[in-house]
Amino acid sequence: MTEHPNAATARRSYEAWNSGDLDVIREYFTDDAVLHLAGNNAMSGAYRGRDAVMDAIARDIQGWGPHAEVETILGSDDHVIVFCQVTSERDGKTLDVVLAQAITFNAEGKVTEAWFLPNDQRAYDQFFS
Amino acid sequence: MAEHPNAGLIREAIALFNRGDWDAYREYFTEDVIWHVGGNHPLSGDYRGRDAIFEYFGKVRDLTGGGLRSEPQDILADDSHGGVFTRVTADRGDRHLDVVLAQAYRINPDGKFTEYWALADDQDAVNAFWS
Repeated sequence: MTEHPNAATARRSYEAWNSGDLDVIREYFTDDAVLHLAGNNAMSGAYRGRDAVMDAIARDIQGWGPHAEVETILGSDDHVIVFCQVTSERDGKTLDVVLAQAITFNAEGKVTEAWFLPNDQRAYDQFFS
Repeated sequence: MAEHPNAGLIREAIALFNRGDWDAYREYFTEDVIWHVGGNHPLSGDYRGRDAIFEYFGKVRDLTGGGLRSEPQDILADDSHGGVFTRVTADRGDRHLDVVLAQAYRINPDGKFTEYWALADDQDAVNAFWS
């Protein structure tokens, strides 16, 4: 079955994430996109607007270098759900969690809102502290 | 396009939840299912095992007088996963909850839920409602 265009966008954004290609990721967000990062850690919070979203993503990639291995991407005209394994090693700490990510898309196929939840919030908070 | 069987499964399960038909709803979970509830409120955390999860559902029911409703807006699925965007409404005394929750399910080949994530778009509203 052909992948839904929004699922394909999400897949490309994960590839860009892993290669640190911020310019590619930037193109996928609307100007007023919102990114929600769950938990109680240095990255947690709601980032509003494309500039704030991209600052957060750059800080995340450069500070912690998480690698995302996509397990499945489910897509429809308005929504995408991603399951991915996220791993990293930094400053003697290791991360290995499964994240569920929810993404909403507008009619132009751009991301308007994205949010995540790890399967082990405590491990996630400890790594991103 | 015909709905994926796992999308149908989730639709049925949510209908049973809304009706409060716990005996039938229980059949949709494996015994060792894991449930991840995000946020910073008294019900947040990981629930391990079907009994623990139904204890959590019991608390939700008691706190909302059985009035919490989930109205799916979009259900996505493949052979081993499901995703739902659903409007969740509830009342608790003079507090009112009205949020869109994204739910992610892992589903085994027998059509049972093995793992679940609940993601609120407005986590502050959810935290305030349950706190």
